[in-house]
Amino acid sequence: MVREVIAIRVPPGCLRSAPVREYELSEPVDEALMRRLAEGGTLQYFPTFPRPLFRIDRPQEFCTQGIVGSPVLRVTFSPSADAGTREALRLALGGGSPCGEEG
Amino acid sequence: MVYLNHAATTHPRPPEVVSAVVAALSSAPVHPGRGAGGQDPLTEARFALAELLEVDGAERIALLPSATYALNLAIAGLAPQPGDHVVTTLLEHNSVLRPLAHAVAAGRLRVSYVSPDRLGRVSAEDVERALEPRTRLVAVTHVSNATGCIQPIREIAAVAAQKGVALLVDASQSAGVLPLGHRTLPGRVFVAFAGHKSLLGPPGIGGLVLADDRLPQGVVGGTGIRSEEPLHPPELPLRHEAGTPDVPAAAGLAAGVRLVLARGVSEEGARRGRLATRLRARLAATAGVSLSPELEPDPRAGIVAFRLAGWTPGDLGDALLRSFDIEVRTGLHCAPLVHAPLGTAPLGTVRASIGWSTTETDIDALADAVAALAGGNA
Repeated sequence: MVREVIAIRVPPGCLRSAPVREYELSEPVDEALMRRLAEGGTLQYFPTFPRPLFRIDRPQEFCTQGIVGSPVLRVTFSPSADAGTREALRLALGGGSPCGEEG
Repeated sequence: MVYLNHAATTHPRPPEVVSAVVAALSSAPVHPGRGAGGQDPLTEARFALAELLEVDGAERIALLPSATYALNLAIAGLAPQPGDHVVTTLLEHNSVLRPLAHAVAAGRLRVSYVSPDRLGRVSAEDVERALEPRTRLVAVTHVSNATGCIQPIREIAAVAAQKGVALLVDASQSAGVLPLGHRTLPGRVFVAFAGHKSLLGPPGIGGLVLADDRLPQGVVGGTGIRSEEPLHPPELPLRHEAGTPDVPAAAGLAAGVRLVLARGVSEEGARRGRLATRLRARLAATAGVSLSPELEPDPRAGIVAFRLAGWTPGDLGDALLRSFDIEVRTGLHCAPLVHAPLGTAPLGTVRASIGWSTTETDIDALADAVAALAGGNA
């Protein structure tokens, strides 16, 4: 099955105006996707945590974190991120036509 | 799950509370004030609350849908005239700040905000300096929901009483953890409380301790008595209670308050203080952690706010939940003005709040998780 973005949401407790979104994928994040997303940025990976956490910092674009094995990513966009940044992220995550909050 | 968000709402509810709510929903309806019958859950709740909060007379306990409702009622009634002045603090929750802001926006009130010191406390002296001839109300929280700092309400009550100004205390975080001693507070003191936090009740019920029977009525309507009269009854506590009461919530609240009384308020405060001190010590020893405020000489409220270098509070809370199954609260905690003086604006903090069910194991789980996340930063 092809992985794609199926929903983009404002996380619970965040304002719509906050540059933070939750991306839900059709398939769980695996290590290959994690490492692809980290290209051009820095990766912190905690595989020994109760659930394996990763954080990726792509300066001028976004920071994202999630759990390997979970389909949900938390993304905080940089102030300089624009629509092109968001589109590039959507494509990097497999594309798709996500429902929900895009902005 | 390790639940450390009791300042938002308690979880899990004690079984006695759940049983009381279920029993109230399952048994024949009770119509307080509307028919024959003995003690009803509302009366039970009132008497238990009067004992807990040390109030002279259970009729002074108005049961309302929430602390927010109670605070709105009190603010509207205690500073009702155009040009009235209110003194409050930067520590307050939006349930105080927003009713005041709306009144200011409508051109009805003027408000002065007292700032906390670096320990997160306001002083009675600063409150006194903020008083004006047209000051009608001082509104102050007993415990900051963002920091856990305990405010000197007895000294503030003395200042307000000396000037003949009413005091409104937001006891949302303190009721059930700290003694209130309402009958010994000087002056005209109103106290708002939430039923679903440290009083262990269900959501949907809170209330207002009334200093007297002079607070103007807010919502009026059916009471079940003297239906032939055109005006809502003026006596306490019906004066402020209209409509069909939430009897199951009152039953749960009564059960919760009885548990709090059985455990002992001072004992519970001391227990939470020990756990908070343990957590603060563990976090303070973790590289990159900053506590807010840095020092906490009185930790009985059981709230510990902190940040971790390299993490936004939101990201840290998300990581704690998703990777470690630990629930905390992140951000501004509905108290947006406290963060500038404490240096935690604009993103706020991570807040761990201790409750009746919290154990040392829970505290150590959070401290270990933060240390692990901090270690990843090294």
